[in-house]
Amino acid sequence: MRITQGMIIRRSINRFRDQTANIDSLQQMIASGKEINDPSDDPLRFRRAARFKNMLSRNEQYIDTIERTSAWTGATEVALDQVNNLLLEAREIAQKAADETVDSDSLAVMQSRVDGILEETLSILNSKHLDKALFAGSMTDLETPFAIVSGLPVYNGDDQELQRKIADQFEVSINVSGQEIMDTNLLQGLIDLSDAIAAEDRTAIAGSIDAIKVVSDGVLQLAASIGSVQNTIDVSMERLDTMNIELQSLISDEEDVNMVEAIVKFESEQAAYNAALQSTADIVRLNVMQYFR
Amino acid sequence: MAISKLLELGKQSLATYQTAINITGENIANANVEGYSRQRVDLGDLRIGNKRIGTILGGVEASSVKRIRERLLDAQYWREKQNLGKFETNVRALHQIETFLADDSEGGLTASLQAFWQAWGDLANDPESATARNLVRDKAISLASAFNSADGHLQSTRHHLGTEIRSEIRRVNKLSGHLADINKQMLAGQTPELLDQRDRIIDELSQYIAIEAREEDNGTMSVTTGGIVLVSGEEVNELKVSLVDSESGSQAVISFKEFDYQPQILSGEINALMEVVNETIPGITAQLDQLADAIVSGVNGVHSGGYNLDGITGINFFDTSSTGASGIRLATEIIQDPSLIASRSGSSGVGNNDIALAINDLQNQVMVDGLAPAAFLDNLLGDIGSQLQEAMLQENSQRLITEKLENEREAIAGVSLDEEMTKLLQYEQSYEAAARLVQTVDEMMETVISLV
Repeated sequence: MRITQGMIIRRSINRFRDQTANIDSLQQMIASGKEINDPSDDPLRFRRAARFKNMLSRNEQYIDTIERTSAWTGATEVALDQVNNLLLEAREIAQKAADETVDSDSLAVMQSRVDGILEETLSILNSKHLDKALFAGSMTDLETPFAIVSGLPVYNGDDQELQRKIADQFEVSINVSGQEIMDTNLLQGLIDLSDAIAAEDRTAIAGSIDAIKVVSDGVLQLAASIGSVQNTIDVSMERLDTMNIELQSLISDEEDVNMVEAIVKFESEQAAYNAALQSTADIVRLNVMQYFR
Repeated sequence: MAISKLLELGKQSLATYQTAINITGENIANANVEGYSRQRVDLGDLRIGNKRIGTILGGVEASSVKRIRERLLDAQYWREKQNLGKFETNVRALHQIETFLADDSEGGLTASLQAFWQAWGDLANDPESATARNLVRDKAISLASAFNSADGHLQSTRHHLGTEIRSEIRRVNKLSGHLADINKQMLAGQTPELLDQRDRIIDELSQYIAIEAREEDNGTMSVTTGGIVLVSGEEVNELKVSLVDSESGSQAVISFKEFDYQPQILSGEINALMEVVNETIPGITAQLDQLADAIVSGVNGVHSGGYNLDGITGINFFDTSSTGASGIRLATEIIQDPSLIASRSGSSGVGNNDIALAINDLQNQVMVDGLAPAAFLDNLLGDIGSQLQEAMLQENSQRLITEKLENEREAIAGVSLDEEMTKLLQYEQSYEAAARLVQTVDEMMETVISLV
């Protein structure tokens, strides 16, 4: 083939164009750490990475939900625990008050303590976590879901469950509703005890001992149920954490550049480019004119 | 033979080599001119005298100046160049679209959509919160504006490419006019310069539009596109672009100015531009519209059945009066008063999050074309990526083919400076020799004269 200077120059320019394009894309890969910067870099891998990213984004939502939920269930557990301690104290008082030898003055002191316990219990039941009533069902904006009206316990909330989504297709209910607490007879039990002590009715006081035991069992059961919710979300959290790591590594497999490989390629492209520049410079300078004198 | 004849022979040689040096000089001068075909001087014997006496070598003349060119290669090159123009333009246009739609920054479609679902998830975790409601509103506004700007970008790209078609058609018309002029001059007499110019015009035309070029016996070039004559002799049929409304929006249509016929333009830059303007972009827009509409109706369907904290219900979250990616926007009431955002179902307290959960869960629901919204979007981006990747592969291989033909053409028609310099030396020596001859003859004449 006849080779002209024009051909040499044009080919060199084309080669420079291709080589700079290669170097540029390698440089971009190394700088971004990603092999897939645009869908067209590899549509298949882009799609896979996109699917994993969607899963990862949902996972992170679930993890966020679980973290908030944990705080809520924790607060619920603490509240129920405190209620239970108060119940233990009430039961001890009842056992003492049941003793025939206790005089009226002592009974009056005991009764005022039981009333105090009732107040404390009421305040715990009306307590809030992040400005939301813990035991009001879905009516979390109530200031006092529980009240004592003319000596009778009244619950103003509802019996709804609060749902949180902690995995695909998996919702847990995270609250103990006030109705469930009413059903344990907690407040009524304490009122009955106070009334019995006031009336110095030893039979009724003795009856209260058992009644409060039943209440206490009911409260413990509620605490256990919230504990099992806590357990469930802890397990979910572990699973989500593991899955997150897996997803991140899957995304990285699809997207990230193999640095060693990229750098080695970059070096060799650089060497090739250098060689091309050098040889072109040499060839372009070479012509017959140098030999005519 | 008379001495004066010898003088004539010397003069003839001097003139011939001067011509040869002249042509060589022209070749050297045009060595870098794109589309220049090198010229060669054919030297022929000049036979003079009485043929009956026999042939006497009587001198030299530049019997012809030839333009070195391979017609077959030209035809191949033109065909491949049309495809190259098509693929290059395809890549350029698709690249613009990809860069914008696949934007993975915070304001991009993908990220905005994710943030939108997340905001509903946050509201589901905290349904009593005003802050979470503001967040839902803000993320929804970002999502709507991501859709709007994606659509806006597509439309402006389309408009911009439409303008490009117009200016390329104008250029084609201009080139056709030039070619007709050259055809006219060609009838008066062919020169290498005219032929080069003619071929250069076809080179450029090939980049824009699919053409068939045929060289007539009289040296004029006839060009057709889609089987219809563009240039024939001095006649030109000019093209025009117009926008025609159709069911799928306005379409660019190319037809002849003088008669309403739409030629099938199967390659060249104009073909690629037409495809992107009339099919690719409207196709992508339609899919974005589909996605936007699905999100609007999905979210509204759930939201309007829900209650806000004050018990207000029946509110649409997105404005229902405008549709598509260009029209998606929040209901004005929601923008002004985010407390209207519903999170709970009817009879429940404010801690209920049924509605927020249900809307958050829409991200997992089959909503568009049998896919969840994010999957639909990823598919769309993946499709654009596949198209672009394919176009880039085609462009690369087409470039190699075209470059190879360019080289083959250059191998025949291109100027080699080494060759020309060597010839120059050769002609120069011959010229010197011829001059020496004249000098010798002069001395001979002097000798003869001194005899007298």
